[in-house]
Amino acid sequence: MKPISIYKPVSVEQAIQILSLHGTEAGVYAGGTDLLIRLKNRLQQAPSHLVDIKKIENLRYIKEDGQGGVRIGTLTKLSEVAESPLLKQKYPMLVAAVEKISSPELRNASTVGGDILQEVWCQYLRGGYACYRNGGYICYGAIGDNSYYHSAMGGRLCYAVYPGDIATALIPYDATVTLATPFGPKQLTMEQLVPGDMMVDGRLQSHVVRFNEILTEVAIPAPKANFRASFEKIRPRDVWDFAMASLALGLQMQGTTIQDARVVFGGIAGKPYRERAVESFLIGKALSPQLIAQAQAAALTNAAPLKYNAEKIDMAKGLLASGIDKLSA
Amino acid sequence: MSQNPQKPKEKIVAAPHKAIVVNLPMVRDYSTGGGHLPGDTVVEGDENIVTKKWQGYPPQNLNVIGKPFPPMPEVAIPRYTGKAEFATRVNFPNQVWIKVVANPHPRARVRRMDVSRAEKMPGVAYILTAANAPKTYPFPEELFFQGELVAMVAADTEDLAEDAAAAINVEYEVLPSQSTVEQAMEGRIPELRPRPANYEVGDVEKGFAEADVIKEFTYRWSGAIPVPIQPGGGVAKWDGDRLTFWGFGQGIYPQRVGLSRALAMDESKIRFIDKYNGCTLGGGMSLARLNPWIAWIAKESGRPAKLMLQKDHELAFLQIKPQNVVHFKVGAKKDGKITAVHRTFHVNVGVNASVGGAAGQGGGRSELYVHVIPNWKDTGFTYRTNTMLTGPSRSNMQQEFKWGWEQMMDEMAEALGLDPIQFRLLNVQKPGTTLTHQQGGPTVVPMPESKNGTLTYDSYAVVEVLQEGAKVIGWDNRNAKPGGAPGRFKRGIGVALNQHHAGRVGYHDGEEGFKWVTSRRANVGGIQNAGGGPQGGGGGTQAAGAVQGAGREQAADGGQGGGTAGAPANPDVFNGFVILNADGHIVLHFAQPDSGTNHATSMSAQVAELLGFTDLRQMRVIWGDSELTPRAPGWNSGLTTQLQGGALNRAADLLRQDLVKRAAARLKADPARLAIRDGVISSMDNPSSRVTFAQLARANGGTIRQDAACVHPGSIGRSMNRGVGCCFAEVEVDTYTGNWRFVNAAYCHDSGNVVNPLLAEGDMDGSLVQSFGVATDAIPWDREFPGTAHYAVGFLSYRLPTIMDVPEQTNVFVNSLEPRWFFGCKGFAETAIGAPPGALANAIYNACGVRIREHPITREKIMAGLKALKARGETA
Repeated sequence: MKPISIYKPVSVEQAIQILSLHGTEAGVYAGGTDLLIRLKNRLQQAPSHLVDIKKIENLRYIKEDGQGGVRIGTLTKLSEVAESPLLKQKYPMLVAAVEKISSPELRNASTVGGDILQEVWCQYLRGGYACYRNGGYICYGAIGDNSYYHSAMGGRLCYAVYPGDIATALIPYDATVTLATPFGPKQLTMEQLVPGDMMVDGRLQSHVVRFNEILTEVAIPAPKANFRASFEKIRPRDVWDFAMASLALGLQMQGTTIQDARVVFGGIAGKPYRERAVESFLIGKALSPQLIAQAQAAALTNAAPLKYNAEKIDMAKGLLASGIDKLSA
Repeated sequence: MSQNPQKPKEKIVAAPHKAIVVNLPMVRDYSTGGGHLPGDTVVEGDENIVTKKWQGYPPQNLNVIGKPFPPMPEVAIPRYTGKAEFATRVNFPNQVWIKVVANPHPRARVRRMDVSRAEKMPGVAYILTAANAPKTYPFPEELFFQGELVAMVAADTEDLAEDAAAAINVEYEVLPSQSTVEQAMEGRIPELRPRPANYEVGDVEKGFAEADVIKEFTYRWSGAIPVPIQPGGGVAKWDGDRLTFWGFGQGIYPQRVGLSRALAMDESKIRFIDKYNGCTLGGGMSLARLNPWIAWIAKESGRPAKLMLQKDHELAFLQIKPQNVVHFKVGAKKDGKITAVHRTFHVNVGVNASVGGAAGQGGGRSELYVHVIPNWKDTGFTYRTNTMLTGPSRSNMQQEFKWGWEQMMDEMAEALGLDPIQFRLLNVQKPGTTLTHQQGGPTVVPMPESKNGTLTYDSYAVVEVLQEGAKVIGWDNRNAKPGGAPGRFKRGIGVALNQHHAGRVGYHDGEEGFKWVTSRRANVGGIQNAGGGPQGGGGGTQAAGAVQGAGREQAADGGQGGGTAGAPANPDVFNGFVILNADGHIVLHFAQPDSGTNHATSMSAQVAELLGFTDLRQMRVIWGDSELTPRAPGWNSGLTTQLQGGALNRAADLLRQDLVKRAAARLKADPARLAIRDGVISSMDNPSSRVTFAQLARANGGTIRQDAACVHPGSIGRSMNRGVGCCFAEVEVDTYTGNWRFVNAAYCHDSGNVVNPLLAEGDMDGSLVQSFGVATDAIPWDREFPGTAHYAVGFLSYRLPTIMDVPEQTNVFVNSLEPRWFFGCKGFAETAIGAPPGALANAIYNACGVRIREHPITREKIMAGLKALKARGETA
């Protein structure tokens, strides 16, 4: 393992100071289920100054805000989200998504912030190849074995898929996040936070969090009446693995009519992939399984599968059928 | 069925045991075909026509055997409390940690290596390279696969060793390579051309001429790999010229022989300890080749040395299931009788060079052992490739060849309009079927029971495993038309048959066959030996060469064979002894390490039964240490309870006779009128006339000991007995997404009399999960650059099934009462393990009409198949 130093700041301000001091050599350390593996695998891109934020108080909570919405602290464990009665009652689709993340052991360690900002799981990056994310100038995923961890929706530099499920599941709820920055808090929508495949401070990453910023909170607006949502995920095994394709589907109903829709695919692109074509198709229609064929036809028309991952698109469309089926029931 | 009828698991709830034991009649006459088909007759209960006599201890009035005793405390409690002596857990205060520098190319030579920077790094104690490796056990010159050993670095801590390993600068000369079976079939590398592996029984041309239906099928198997839970490696410690090695593997003596040969030292100076393994699964055997280098580093650095391989290195060194491509041409009569099979197979045998059975070079001919194929021809090609070691890996040559065969049987049944079970029953060997040795399979060797050149199995429950399994799974509910059920979630049921390494029974000293086998083995060297070969490591003189080369002249299908020279006489003999001590305890001594299967408990049960105990409380075991236990080969394929157990049974039998004799003298009673019960021998005529085992031991100076031995007659067990098994699988396919689940399984075994149903069930649960994993996971190679780096994301590229993936499982044990062994028992560890992949493929076909001829079974293949069906308008 490369030599590292670990800081244990007790406040967000301290943490930001340390991050600012070390620039891109530093990284935030919370649950460690992504970061420690990168360190252990000796990735060049892994930070050598770890800023352990676990000692910072007040980042681990699930609480209701004044407007009936819920705020989740970045250090909240995935298992705490999965077991929260408040979240189960208000945002059952989020809880369903979190229950399907990896194994119970990992959910006990991983944090909400870590899940949202995790590094991609491309086997070439993780195997230490010098790709765009690891100090090089090539995407091995684009030219190599792209069966599971790579985009079927095209890419720019890095073709790895964005692996997180929480961000995908939160977009239908119109969730926002707060970043602590040296210049005070900054609010972003979930989509703005994870636009995929971005150069930020000279580093290729899926999110827009700068080297001296920390994701501190996720805020979910109050649930609306007649909102129906489902989360679907398909993966090679029922635990351990990341989505080959997933779908967070949210429908705002008025009677039997779809008033508004969110169709967000995970596991197929470098970001949670919001499919607005299907959303516009669904809006105004009466919800029923009759919509499936046309919705599927409207979905992912600009798919650009790589050599080994064309089935991701078929699976994603299958999940769309499944989601509509479920919400029509 | 638009709703998923059975919700995926959300919570795991402990379920009651569901094993079913089917007892067959004790007295049988199968001479007319077994009574299973119209025209057959079977007569039960007539002592005059019983085909075989019992071995002396019939399965009657049993007190211990067949009872679900929990594992022996001295084995199990350390395991559960974290005190068990796994090599992983052995540490010394001043030990060095070893890390490996691995070859990154499929095939290469080291052109230049610079260790100067690494040598100067903090904490580095020793760097082993080709330059300073022992002359008797050099490093490989040609690096024949990705992950092959280039250097080993020993340092004060794991991290320091890893840092130093990373600082070693190696320049490679990359050589032309072939890794996959397809690349090999192209034949671009002349020095790696294939070797033929042909075999013929009867006349296939004549057979095809007689056939009404002739079909051809091609199947591909993409390899598979086991991953033992315990990391591979070992710990070596020297005291003067004596070496103690804490290792990992399927035996202790083969490893000890391997070390002694590689380091050119006397075996008696080596103590090999392996009491606990975190599984080996066959594949772990190849790690023994690292042992001599660990010992060498310990010697040269003057400190205890420990190697625990990190996962990617370990995965490269494990022995894998080979890839293959198999083509069948099959002819059958309209009534379903197969007249001819011509099979062409291409097997990727990896780094292995020899032609033998162990790595699949023989093409997995055990189909021949199960069926009666009058005309059979194999045209085989085996390719040496730049792949890891191939060989036994969650069974030997089973899943990889049954994958094609069992799907072929399903497709052929469909072509003939027959039920797959009926089609199999028409073509399988049955009790009473008379076969020549040749038809029994190429590895059948003449044995005392088969002197006339033919074989007749009488404990062989092939019909029962199929019929009982069909009842359990609800065979009648399967789709008449594949994919014919309406709705999104489609259920289907499939079956596959298996026979291999099953029905294991040995010969113990005193039997005619014992002499026969031991004299034969002494002449030809070991099949299942106590020395060298991949089990032992260090059998040869050169790393990869050690495993590929020296001493692998074993018979085809030779298990984990190897070793010609150097091993002591009769290396196949399992020795064991039992000691009665002054406290009245019976102490079993045997070599075999515990791998979680609790064979100590099963063998204790057999011994307890023989000695008239009604529980295991007086039983003690000492095992897994070459200073405390007698010589024995390693285990494989479920022979421990039968062969190591056979030696202990025989010893217990001798002890029983000895005790009765002593008691008769002491009580002045007729030995025939003495009863033994729970450590007391008493007169049947005068129960107050009694003596305890403990008294007899004390009278003999404290202990009474009996030694005995047992031998393994050939690679598939005694010619005259066979076990068989099958797997019924029920799956559910989500036709929207290609997602599927293995819902139910009936896992059926021709088990003989089950010694301990609790352990048997645990063992068979594991067996099914392992084989399910094999069905759904290939060698996790890069599809674009096969043979280069694999396993980059560790367990993410090797997707072990977890408890969330496994089906509801019902084990069916058919008690076929093996007449030739103690209490009607026989081995059944691998009765059914080869069946699940084929059964699953057949079930998926039955569920949704998608036939997956290319292993592994994946969601994307099902999705692609469903899409193709839809395009052709063939879905419901």
